[in-house]
Amino acid sequence: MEWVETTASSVTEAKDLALDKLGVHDSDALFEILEEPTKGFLGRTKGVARVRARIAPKAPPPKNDRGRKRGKSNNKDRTKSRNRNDDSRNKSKSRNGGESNSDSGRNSGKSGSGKKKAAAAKGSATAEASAQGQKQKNERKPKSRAEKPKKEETPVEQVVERVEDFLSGLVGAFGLEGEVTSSLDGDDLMANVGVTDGVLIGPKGRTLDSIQELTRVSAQRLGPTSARIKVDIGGYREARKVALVAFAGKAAAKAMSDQVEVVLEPMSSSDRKVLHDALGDIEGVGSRSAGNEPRRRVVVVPDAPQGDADNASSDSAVKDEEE
Amino acid sequence: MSLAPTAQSVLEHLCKSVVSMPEEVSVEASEVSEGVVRFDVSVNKDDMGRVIGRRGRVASAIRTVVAAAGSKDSVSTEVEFVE
Repeated sequence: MEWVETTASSVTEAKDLALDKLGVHDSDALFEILEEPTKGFLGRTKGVARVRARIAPKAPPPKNDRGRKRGKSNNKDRTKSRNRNDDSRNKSKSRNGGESNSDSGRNSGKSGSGKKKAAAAKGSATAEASAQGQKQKNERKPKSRAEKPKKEETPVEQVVERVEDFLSGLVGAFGLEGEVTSSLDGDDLMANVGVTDGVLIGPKGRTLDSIQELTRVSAQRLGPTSARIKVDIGGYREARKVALVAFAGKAAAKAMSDQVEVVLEPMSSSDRKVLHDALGDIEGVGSRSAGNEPRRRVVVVPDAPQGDADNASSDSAVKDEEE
Repeated sequence: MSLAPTAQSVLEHLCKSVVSMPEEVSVEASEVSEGVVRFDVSVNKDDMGRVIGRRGRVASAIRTVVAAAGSKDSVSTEVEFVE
């Protein structure tokens, strides 16, 4: 949480100065007005505005991160910025063994890896032990799913059919025409709607994301399924991905050349994932997410952490003393 | 029906796809003000949770898509769920 302090003759100017120092846009910064020009503190600094600012979403990741189902990405991000190796899974494993202390403050990573460990232990234990584990599992299950005892997983063909019906019904309801096609790759079900009308995509793909969500809910109604459903409309996601990867390159270049963290605008989780993946492939930067949904955003972090931000704040402190 | 036909048929389709008793879904449209159409969706009591979803995720997704459909009808939309 590097704060930057600036002094100027007006609050606005001081804010601008602070933004320059932080290298972020106005909406990405948090301000604290220390002194306003009109009301001088003890009359001493009358006519001077002092402002303290920092990059807004730099707060520690919010608590609700902990419960994230696929906490892997979270781990991944952190390991990436720390030490970059090849495979993220290997990394998290080695981290469990080696540097668990450094994680003591972070429950999310810890509890996640703890579970993994337990699972691994189960796997390598004797048949008796695993049978016991099985038993425990069975005992636990009825509690969480009281009314639905145990349902067979829905055959994937039915899921595909349901998804296609849902989407073509939706296209029809919109009064549009377009064919729905889908492809299956393992558990990944990708449905594409051949419509060029942007109305189904919406600003930043928000309508598309909602449609995808509803498609999943609709498919879920059949019963449990292991299929991971994705919906695309007129190849939008692919095009968006290309644009985001290019954008990631620019943001990374800025982060490296200025040695500052670059906070990007709020994005949907799917966009953020594309960015994290792209940034992970770029040497010299890492990334993480900050802020709460729906304003969660990607932060591009340059690798050398002895940051400019610290220098900037000490610079401004010196400056303040001089003034 | 003529208030916002696209939005209404989209809304009906969405709700029926999400609930377990599609035959009990009914949608009533009313114009709250110039260019603003309000939809009251009624579903079976047991389906309320499904149309709303955890933390209202399904409901807000429905609202987003219906809003897009409403743009075809040149109206803004409001969606309320009632039992």
